[in-house]
Amino acid sequence: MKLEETELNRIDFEDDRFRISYYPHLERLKRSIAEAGLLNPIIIAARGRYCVIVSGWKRALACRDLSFSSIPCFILEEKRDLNAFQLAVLENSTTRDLDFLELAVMFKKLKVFGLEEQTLLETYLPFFGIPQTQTHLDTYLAAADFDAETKEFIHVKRVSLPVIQHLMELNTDERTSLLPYLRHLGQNKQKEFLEFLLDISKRDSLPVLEILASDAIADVIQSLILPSRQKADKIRLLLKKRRYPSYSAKDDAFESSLKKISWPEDISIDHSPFFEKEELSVRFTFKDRAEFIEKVERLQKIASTAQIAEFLKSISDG
Amino acid sequence: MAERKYVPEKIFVERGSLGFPLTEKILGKLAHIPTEIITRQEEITAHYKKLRDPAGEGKKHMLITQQKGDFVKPCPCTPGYLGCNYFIINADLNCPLDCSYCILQLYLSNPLITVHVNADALWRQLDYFLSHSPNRFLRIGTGELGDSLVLDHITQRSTELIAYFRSKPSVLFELKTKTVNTDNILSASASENIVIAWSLNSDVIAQKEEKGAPSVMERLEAATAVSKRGFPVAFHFDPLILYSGWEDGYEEIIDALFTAVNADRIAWISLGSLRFPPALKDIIKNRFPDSRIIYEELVRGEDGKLRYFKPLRLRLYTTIVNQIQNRVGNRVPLYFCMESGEIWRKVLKKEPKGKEAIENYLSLPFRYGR
Repeated sequence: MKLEETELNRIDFEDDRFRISYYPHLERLKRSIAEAGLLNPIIIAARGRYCVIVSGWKRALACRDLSFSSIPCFILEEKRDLNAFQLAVLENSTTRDLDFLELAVMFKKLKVFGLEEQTLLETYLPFFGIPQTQTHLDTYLAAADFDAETKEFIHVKRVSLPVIQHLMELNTDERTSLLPYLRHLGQNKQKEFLEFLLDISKRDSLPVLEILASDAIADVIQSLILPSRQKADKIRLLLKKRRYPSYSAKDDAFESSLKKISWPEDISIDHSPFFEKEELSVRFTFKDRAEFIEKVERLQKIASTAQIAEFLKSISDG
Repeated sequence: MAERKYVPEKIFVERGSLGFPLTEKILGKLAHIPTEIITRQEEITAHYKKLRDPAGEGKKHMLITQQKGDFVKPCPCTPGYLGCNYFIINADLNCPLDCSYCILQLYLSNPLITVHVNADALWRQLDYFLSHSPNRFLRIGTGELGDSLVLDHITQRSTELIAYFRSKPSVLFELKTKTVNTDNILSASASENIVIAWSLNSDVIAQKEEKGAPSVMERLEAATAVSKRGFPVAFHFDPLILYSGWEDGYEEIIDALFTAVNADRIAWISLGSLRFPPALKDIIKNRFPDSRIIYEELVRGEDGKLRYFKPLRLRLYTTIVNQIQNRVGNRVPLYFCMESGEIWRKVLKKEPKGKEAIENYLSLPFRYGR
């Protein structure tokens, strides 16, 4: 490769055939280049009347933002896009860790440039430490085709693989409708939200958007008081209730029974996860003997009531 | 439905497994099937793992190899629930039937239909195991990691196992199947300690979720013939699956069962509801997109597996047990597979004190005469 000082106006910034990063944070890079200049030349290749960037998009964009008129570039003579891109892949992979979306775009472009899926599976997946399964490759390739908004969400929220796989089951409209809520949830809750929704959709043969338009969920969505984060969590809980109607009914009955028997708020009582075990657990704290005795006596008093017997029977009977 | 016996599309033979009598038998019977000699099974199993549908693709091909580990193992049951002290013989691995709920789909390390041909090691291990388990009435069977009879027209495994266990009267040996591949059974002499068992389900579930398996009526016809031959028979309603109309669906089969088979010749009936590790959910979703079984109210149990919310299980079991007991009273021992003491107590009105108690309960009629 030849090193040449190249006019920036000779580079076609619209041609992103070799680009894999679409969400660059350039500020630090710009400060560094402004202070020390561009220390690592980018790689470009001639395509038609212009040159296209093979590797070094961030550096080139930073230099353009800094109004450089020319920058040092390695000129790649390679005419075949696949070969040029494979070089870009190597260069990128040795200088930094690539995130999910960058890998997705990279695999997709390699495929578009003519690389066999088998080679992706056999060579590229293990190279990047990804399990060598067709399912993994399918997920990356599908994510590369997501709409821009979903891609941005995946990038910004560092979305997990199971969530991405759930997003693959939705169409663009459905994804767009859900993103405002998913953005406010952590990874586990994102996964739950989508799992409940998709399961209900399959179970009841209902389109996802129709489920979101149901009265209870629509009320939450249209609320003018609730902040987005709370809306997201409330919708998740409504979906959970609909996904697990028997369990939710039992859990509601448990809570309302506790209110009915005036269970003390400073003594917690819990059932096992999903009521799978018969045992209940009671937990309280105390700072001295007097408080310990006081709480035990209150529990004894509750234990002697008819209501507690009824409550325990209702839990046991299911 | 005409019986379709399994024939692999290709056979892989590990070089070290050539020359075993069972290898020769299989290759002789399937001489028309393309065969490839390989050095180590990992050479080919690694390939299947990469496929979009390893479980489906693996079923097409047979692997002839040797059991390098233990043939005989305690049935692992599941943590947090009552076991029954059953022992399993891992003679063959995987199954050409394609049931949507099958746990074997998760065994991706080797999805091929695998026959372990080192039978000498099997007999040696069985001899050792039985000699070290005196004063016990053991229950042992194949059919845990594969159907006991689905390959029997190729391997004739049942003939040898029956011959072995016939002389072990203090061992209850069970072959468990969904097939009607019973020619070898019907030509063997029956023995009271050799139980031939069928997995049963409602017609709707069998048709929708048990791809490649004979209909339930065909299974019952096979059970009738085997019972008439003199073998005790057993049935496993496992997995019981909730769907719209399940009560009628199961009742129909229970009716048919007791019409087809004399209840006094039934060694036991087990009940188990749908349960599976969460990782299987995506596999079912992808491999069986029309199946709806994963969308019922399945929650995480004590063992981390997904299973029906307990009140739903209680209703399911109570209904089925009533349907059985309304017909035959307590003549047939019933037991639960991978269930809690609470379920036993609430449905069967008895709570076994541990797995030895279940072992005793199921083997008692054999020890003291049926």
